[in-house]
Amino acid sequence: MIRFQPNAFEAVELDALFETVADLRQREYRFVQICATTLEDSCELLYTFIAPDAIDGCLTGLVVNVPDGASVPSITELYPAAFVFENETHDLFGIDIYGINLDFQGEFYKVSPKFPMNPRAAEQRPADEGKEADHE
Amino acid sequence: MSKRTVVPFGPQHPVLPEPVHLDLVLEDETVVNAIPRIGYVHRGLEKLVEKRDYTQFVYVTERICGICSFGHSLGYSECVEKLMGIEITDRAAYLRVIFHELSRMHSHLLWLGLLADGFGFEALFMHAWRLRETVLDIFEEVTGGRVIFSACDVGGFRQEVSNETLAGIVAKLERLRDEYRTIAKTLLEDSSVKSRMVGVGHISTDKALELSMVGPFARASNVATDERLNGIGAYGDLAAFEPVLSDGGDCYARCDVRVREVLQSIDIISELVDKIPDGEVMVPVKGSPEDGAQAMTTLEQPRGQAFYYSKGNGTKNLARMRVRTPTSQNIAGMVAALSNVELADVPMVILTIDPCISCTER
Amino acid sequence: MSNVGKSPWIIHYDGSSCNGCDIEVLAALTPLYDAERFGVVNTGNPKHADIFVVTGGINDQNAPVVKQIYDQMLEPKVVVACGACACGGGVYQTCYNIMGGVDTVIPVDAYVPGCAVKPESILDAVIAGVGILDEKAKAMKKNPADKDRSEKDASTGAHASVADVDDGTNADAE
Repeated sequence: MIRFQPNAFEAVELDALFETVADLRQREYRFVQICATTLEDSCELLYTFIAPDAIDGCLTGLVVNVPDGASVPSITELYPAAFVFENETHDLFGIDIYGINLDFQGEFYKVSPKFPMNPRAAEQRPADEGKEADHE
Repeated sequence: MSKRTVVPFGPQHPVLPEPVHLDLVLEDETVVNAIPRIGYVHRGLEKLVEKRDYTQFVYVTERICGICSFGHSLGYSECVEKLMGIEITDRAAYLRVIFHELSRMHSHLLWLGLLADGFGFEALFMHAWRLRETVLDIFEEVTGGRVIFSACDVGGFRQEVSNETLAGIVAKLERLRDEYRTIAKTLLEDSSVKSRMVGVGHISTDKALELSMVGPFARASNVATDERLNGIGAYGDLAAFEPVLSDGGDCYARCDVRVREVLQSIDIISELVDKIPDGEVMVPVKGSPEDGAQAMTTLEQPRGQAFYYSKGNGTKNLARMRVRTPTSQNIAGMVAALSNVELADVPMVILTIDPCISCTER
Repeated sequence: MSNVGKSPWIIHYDGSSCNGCDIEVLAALTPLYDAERFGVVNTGNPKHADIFVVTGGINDQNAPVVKQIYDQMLEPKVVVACGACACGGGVYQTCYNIMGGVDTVIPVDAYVPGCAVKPESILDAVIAGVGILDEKAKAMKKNPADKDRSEKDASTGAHASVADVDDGTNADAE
């Protein structure tokens, strides 16, 4: 019985992200998701794909470090379904992503605290409308 | 030149048990574009890992969604087990798959009912939900809960289920199979039902691949994607597994795929109950995930591929927990399926995608 | 059933629930539990509804929706908060996007415990709701000018919980 699904993590520079994903698209990798993580002084994006001939469903993860204030290219041109995750990454983590095919401009998840998953971004870019969350 | 209008759809709408909002851009009666807007059910569960440790978080993952509840606890447990290198027993792995397939049956029967309600076939709705109660009775009998039943835990399955109970479950499902066939026949062969679904909301195979669609939605467009094919856990012990496919690509094909998947689940459960090995169901879980360790897993939920990611930081609390649910992946497909349908068909198209908004927003 | 005055029509809204309670609300209407035998009909139109069944907690985005559905319903009306989240936030209480239970935006008449709620408790709550509905109707007859009366009653603590509904309104139901 196979217990664990294999994983393959690969670090990718932010500049090379779009090309790397374009290469995967060329090789017919299927897109799975984008996940952001807040680190101590930057953020990390994890792009996940599955190869068309993946053995035991091996998942390919591209790990991209995003310094505060950096902009990330959208991959919706290659994988249209990514728009959900890119909008989510912006709304919850405050990471700027440019060129999304369906850009909600921060209105996709209308959460009351701004960028709730990334306290640093919330501090640096306080809410525009001055709408404060009423949490006890 | 026809006039363009925007019709708001939802968040409170009779066909939707869950709130989602769509701006439907219409040209006369035809939808030319649909813009989804979500966030009504967003709770921010992923941030709760900071407050709950990795064993407590199982309960939270169960409450990501009340329909896919067992699946989420299973996916999360598998992910944390991979992160920490915990090997569960064979019996636990079998029990997990048996209960996961039962959950799939309950979810699909629920969906068939909602679909029938969606096209105004109230009696069929009632019958589908009546049959679904058989599965819920099994859950209640074994675990005490009906929809959220905390049976799966990091390290295995929380309670022993005797071989007699398992045999009883199979007997119940065999009785259900006959009754279910009658309902399935109505759904697939009734001419008025067909006229609502055939040719509506068509998505081609290429389009399905381009939009990274998952689950029955993709399989109805003849894309052979099914995480059960990976053979992780007890799925690997099945004699054979073929994903249920259809090449129709329309609402009818999606209905057809789910109808057949219920029968497939009964077969899987019977086979696994025959083969289940004896032994313990829980292994002790000690320690914390290592700092910087990370793990990704996927799972075939009733609505398609779900993705789990966890990252440790050396404490009992995970540094990051991520769930990507099938519906978030299918939103792009839903928008595509909605273009060029009549306004009156919009509820049908949305229903056949089987959206789970609560999952999507977490 | 002779003492149940009204055939209560319900409208259901999913606040930010996990679906667990929503499917149990629907299950309460389907053959095994069959709330329809009490004349309960699930409607999508707030103007047709007598009882507002809310599941899940409240956040900034759905608060106006819940408020609007409540305002659109005609008097007398009853609000039933179904499940731990609707009662007070449940497991999500400490999440950043949850303000709390339904009573943070509208007055609630009956609180139903459980995560997820059992269909039996939903039936109990709806029957309790009918009792409250009758009282509110009586109060309105006495003083038709005071339209807000029932609302005030609810917000000043005239609540019923499932535990104390055994006042005969559902005695015949069993």
